[in-house]
Amino acid sequence: MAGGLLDVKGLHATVEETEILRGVDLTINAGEVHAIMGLNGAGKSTLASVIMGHPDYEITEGSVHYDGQDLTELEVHERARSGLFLSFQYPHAIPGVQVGTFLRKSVAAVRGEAPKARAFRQELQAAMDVLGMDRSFLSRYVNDGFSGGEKKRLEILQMLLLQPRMALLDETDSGLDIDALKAVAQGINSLSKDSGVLLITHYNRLLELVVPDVVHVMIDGRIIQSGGPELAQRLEADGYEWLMPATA
Amino acid sequence: MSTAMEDPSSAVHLWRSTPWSWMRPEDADSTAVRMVLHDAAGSVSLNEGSPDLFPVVVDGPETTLPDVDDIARHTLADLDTAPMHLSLEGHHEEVVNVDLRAAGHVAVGRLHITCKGQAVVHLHLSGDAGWCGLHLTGKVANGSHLSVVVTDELHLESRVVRCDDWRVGRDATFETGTLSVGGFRRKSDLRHHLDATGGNVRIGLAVHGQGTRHDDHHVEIHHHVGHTSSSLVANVACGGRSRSVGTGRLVIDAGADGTDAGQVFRNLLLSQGARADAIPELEVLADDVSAAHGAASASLDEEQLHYLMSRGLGPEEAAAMIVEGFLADAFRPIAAAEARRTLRDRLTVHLDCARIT
Repeated sequence: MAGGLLDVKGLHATVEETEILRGVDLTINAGEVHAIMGLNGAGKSTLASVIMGHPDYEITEGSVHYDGQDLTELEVHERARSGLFLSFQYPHAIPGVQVGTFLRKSVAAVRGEAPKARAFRQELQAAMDVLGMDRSFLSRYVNDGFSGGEKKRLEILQMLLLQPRMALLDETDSGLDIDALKAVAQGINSLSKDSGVLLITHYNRLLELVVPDVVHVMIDGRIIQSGGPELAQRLEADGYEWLMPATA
Repeated sequence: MSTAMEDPSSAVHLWRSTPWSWMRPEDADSTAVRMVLHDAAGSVSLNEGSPDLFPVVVDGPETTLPDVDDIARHTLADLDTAPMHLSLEGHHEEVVNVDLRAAGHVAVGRLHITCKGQAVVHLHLSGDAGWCGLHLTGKVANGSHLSVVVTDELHLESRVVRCDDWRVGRDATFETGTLSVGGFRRKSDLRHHLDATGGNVRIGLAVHGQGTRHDDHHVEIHHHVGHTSSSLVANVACGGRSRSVGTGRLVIDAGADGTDAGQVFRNLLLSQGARADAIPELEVLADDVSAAHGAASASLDEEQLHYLMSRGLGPEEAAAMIVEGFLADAFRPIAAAEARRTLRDRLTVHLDCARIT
């Protein structure tokens, strides 16, 4: 068994009998920030969904280990409690559930005990300060009527409170204005230095604020190239065509 | 006496899904629903009211019993000859709490509320009466704002008949939220009348069905004049083999131009055996109005479940959170924060108890 925090080996996955992932290999060690870039439909979000255990996706081949444990043996909530976190590309609204209540219950579930009220308030305030969020957020319903930027901030707020060991951030930068992007980047950078981070993004702009250790390019369900931050810069400049397999 | 009236035929719309024969009290010996006023700091009094106070309206102008051909209202009037009157004048900062305690085989209460000013009233119905009848009527004076919260936590073996008749004056707002979780069989006939321009009615209704509970809510909003507005949100979560019927009758009179009305019924089915019917009905006789209605039934949203579970909540806890949120969302139309908070708190207590039991 490999020793990375997250080990993906030869992963194949399907949704509604259509194969999306066609043999993904990826190892992320504790403290590393990885970025995956790629064209639309390359399978980036599918990889994040499969790792988190979305029921619509089926692993047909390969393996995913987190901290040495086979993730397929864990239910979704067990993955979360073990320290895995996914920032959703399109977070779901839960009408009628107030953000404050949701955060408290979520933190209690992941930590295994309800946080002390006063300490939690302070912790929450500190995290909201990092993201420049107003307390009025707490009485709103989860993602209900939120702008794109508000949804992404709430995702990062959850990440800060849950302090995952492995954070998967699926296009967390999309739809953010400059100020919001900086706030979100600050949130990601304030995550524990022992945590692993996987950024899924289309743009280099987030990677200028959250500098990755490794950049991967995913095309057609496989990681076909890996490199340092300079790879992201070249993709920004030249696009993906130079990486595309030659066609007859 | 109601016994002089014939049972309404099952062809009568109001009684189609829940026949009167299911709902009529079986024992003529009735006791009064005990009404206790709390926290009013002496500024409000609950007094015996005159039967003349009760403005009962079906479709036309205001009238009183016995001119109305409605068996439920007649029955309630026959059983309770000493209705109560709650008079609210001025601005009430605190919620006016009234406990309605129903005990005995047959318990019945009638309460008339008048509001000149601004107030939030919480009517908490509880007890173990075998049959409970409640008739609420009221008037919201011109320019006034009244919020009435009804939390019904009657014993699970009780049968409940509730009738409401509310009249809303010029530039006045009446908002009401009902949390219907008590009793094993319930029929509610709630009618609201907008009598003058600028009037506004907002209704939130949350129904939780468990076991074999049967809950039938008929909600009627009648715009007698134009430039009035109304909204109704009814969220129903049914589990077990429970059944819910929700009828929303929206009437906009000829000439009531400028009316803005909307109704939405949402049903959340939590089990294979549960059934929920939502029947919005529009009778629009004016030309220049906005009248929207919608109804939807669905089971638990898998994406919502996945999202909550990805935050560490177990499947049952995630489902419970969605159901609680869904029911609480019915109270969105209610502007008074105290009213919403009261409903929300009672809902949380109810669902916590339901999970434990």
